[in-house]
Amino acid sequence: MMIRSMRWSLCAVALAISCADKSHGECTGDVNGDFTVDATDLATLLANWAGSGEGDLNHDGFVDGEDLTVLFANWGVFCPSQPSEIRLACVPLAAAPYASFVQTFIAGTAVTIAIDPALTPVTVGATADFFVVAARSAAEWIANGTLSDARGASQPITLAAGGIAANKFTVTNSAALSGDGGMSVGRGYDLVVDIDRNGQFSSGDLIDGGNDRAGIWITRDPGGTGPYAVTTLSSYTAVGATSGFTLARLWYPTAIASLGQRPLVVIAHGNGHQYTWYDYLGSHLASWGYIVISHQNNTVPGIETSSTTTLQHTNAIIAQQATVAAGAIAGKIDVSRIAWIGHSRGGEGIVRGYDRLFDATYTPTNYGLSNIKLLIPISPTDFLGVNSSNPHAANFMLLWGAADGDVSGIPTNSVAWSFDLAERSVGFRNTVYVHGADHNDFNCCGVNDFVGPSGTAILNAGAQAVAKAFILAAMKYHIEGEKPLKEFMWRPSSTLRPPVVAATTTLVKELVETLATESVTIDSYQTQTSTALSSSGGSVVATVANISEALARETDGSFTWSTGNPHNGSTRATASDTQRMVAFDWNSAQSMEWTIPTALGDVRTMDFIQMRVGQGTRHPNTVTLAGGATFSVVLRDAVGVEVRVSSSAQGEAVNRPYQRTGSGTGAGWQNELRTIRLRLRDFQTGGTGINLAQIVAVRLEFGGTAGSATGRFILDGLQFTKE
Amino acid sequence: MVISLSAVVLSLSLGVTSQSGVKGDAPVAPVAPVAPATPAVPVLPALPALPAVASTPAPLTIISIRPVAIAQSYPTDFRKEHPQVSAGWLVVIRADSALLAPRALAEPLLLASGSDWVESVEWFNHGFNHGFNQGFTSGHRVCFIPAPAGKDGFPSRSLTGLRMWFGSAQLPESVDAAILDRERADADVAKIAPLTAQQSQELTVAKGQDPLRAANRDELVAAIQALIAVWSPAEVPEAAPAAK
Repeated sequence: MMIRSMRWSLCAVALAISCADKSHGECTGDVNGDFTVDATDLATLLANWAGSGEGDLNHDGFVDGEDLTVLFANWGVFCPSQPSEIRLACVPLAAAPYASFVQTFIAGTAVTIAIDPALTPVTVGATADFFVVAARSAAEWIANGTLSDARGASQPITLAAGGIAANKFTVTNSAALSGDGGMSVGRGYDLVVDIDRNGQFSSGDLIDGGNDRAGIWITRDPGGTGPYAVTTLSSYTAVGATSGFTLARLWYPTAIASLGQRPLVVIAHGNGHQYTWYDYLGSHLASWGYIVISHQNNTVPGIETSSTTTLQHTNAIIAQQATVAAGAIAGKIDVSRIAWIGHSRGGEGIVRGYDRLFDATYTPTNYGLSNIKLLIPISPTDFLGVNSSNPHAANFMLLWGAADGDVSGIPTNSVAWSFDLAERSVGFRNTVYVHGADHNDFNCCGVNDFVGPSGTAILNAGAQAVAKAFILAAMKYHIEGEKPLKEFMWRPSSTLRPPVVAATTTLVKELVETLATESVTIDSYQTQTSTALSSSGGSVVATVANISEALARETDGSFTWSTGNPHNGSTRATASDTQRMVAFDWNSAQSMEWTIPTALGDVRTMDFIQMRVGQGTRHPNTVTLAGGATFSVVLRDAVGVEVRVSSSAQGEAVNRPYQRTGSGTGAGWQNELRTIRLRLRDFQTGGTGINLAQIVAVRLEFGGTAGSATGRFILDGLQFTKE
Repeated sequence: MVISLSAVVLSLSLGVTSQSGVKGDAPVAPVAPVAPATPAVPVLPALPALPAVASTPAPLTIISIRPVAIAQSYPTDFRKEHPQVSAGWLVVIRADSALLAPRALAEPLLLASGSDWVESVEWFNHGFNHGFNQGFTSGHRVCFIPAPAGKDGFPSRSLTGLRMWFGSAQLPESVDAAILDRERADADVAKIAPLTAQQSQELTVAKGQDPLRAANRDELVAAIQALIAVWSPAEVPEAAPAAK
């Protein structure tokens, strides 16, 4: 009977994954979230009597007798009678919220855990045993609660008074945790605080990773060479490719015979480039288990011809796998998992190729639209525009150098606006914009077209390190389901940087998820074009200056803001595109506040509030600021509880635009957007009591004590998202 | 005179005779065409910077012209309409590197016209087979002027009044008849001069270059590769990584 009881309890944890730390709804009747149903809760309920918000225990919108009944039914209950799934692993912060809860760590670096006594069923002054356990699924935890520390021994921790700031613990020997996951880049571990010190995961214990998500993911360097030796076939001839463009190079794991079917990666070079110029990328991906080809690309006529050669070569390698490389890859290509990488015109070519499959104007013999799992254009052109170069809902990653002297982002020619392609994506997309990288840094041998401030060039080695790391992370995430690598797509380099990438390299990263199941969008700026109304239908009250919602498009080729050209500097939309954003500035304590429609206010299943934001290039305020910009995010619930978190809680400010000159006066190239994600958990730190079931407003505060004294922002995609 | 006679060099098959003595017109160092598989890794010359974009219409110098008949026609990618090509002229030109440099953004169209025709010219020195794009510093480009075939399989069009020039920056695959007409009008305004009849004769078979009969596009490509090897040998080898 005892065992059965324990398993029921653990089942409850597995099913309730990650909810316990989001609201106090897990502990029925516990209004203030202190894990005890007592007089304090009764007082709060009565204070809100006949109102709404805190005390509304049955979530019917009213605090009334029914809620009182619920509270009395649970009177005296102490909730920590069950193990609690919480977040423990974090990047420690010096100021509130004191900890940035994350999952992914580079192998060999320190891991920290943090416990917030106000949100966690622990006793201050008590000592518990902390375990790092090889990751188990929820089912495995139910079947086996025995704690076995991967470090060899558990670690005693004593909980102190002083809130989360006083309860951050460095995980001893964490640098020795292995990230060797074989073909996976990393390896997972679950974290357990064994409160009763019985060596079992049991009632009252805390766990990070009790569900199917590992508590932490120790990852090797995604820019480092993978576990497999690589065999290269210098060239082979693709049957059926356009005459003169039939050659391709092949890389595959030397031990391919011992592996199952592997995904196929196709690399398409740019104009004036060579299929032989991507050895660094082909061999890197093959070392992590992929079959890779790089093909001759018919780029001189244009994008349509480029796309044709990619479509042809993809078809050909599938058809010829039994014969190329003396049959070494025969039967080894997993046709259901294909990724296309294209550079320059080849970058637009792969998008065009996908669009042709989408439109069914090209029908390959051996694969189809659904087999293309990921598009990665590098510094792509945009010749053909929205109707022909459209990635639709494909998984999409853009890699682009800010010092590109060819596809430069120059304001007078939208062919050079790579961001256009990304903005058209309606699926999952991420962008890595690399300061100091030029067009041909992403291959071995192209001309030097660097244009940027002296001393900022990162050259081939720097850019290719970025390419290797972030392309592999995207591949493993999208194609092989290695979900913890997603953190590479949004976390700042200061807290998560592939070691192969220089610490001095500035990476501006965007992550956009638009699936309704994964996000709740407050303002996309695509509908409700008044600045006083959000796309979700709520009102917007702004005290910031020069606010403008419009197409995110440079209008006069100067990169210079003016009241008549408020979106100058944005290179996100051609005249035929629809991507709209908001722009505004501040010089004192000012704000924007969105009212959240009631139907969207329950965000307990969400993990983050996020937005894309960037500084307005060359704007007087940006010039004055001359550095990173910060601001604050405020959430308010139905009873008026407001909690404020700095935008820099994850470790970085909104970066200053790359200080490149040209195309008008002044320094600062195109507007750069980065994704800011703040964990909703951060708004509960210290027991703020904010009710995530009833968020009624989001406010961004600027200037004053909220952040940078002055600034000019471009903002888009204010939304709540899941991890 | 835009196209200087003194700059003309006659190409006699793969043997070349310079009439002008102008340095740069002669091939750098003739080399055998490279087989299209598993090439050796070469030593990369110093990498140049990307030249600034040149203004157009811009003239060029024609070095050689070779009539071609193609038994099995192919659709050209250098016209929006993709007409079938069964004849034409294989041409070597010389021009400013700023006009020849490969770019991701639109490059100047390469155009040719006669007294009663205008055509989008195919060119090949951009990553073509084993081509290596730093070869633009040689100043030479190998190209092909498509033309309808006459009864003998060779171009039915006349070379009388032939002129070639660089037009506006566009993708060749977007070029249609209307664009060609506009480009020709722009060339007229820019006074792009035609060859004289004598010049045309000197540059073609009359001076010893054999007309080419190709079975198909693959054989045309082989002839093109041979010319690239002669006139822009740096484009022939495969590239090797080099520090900037």
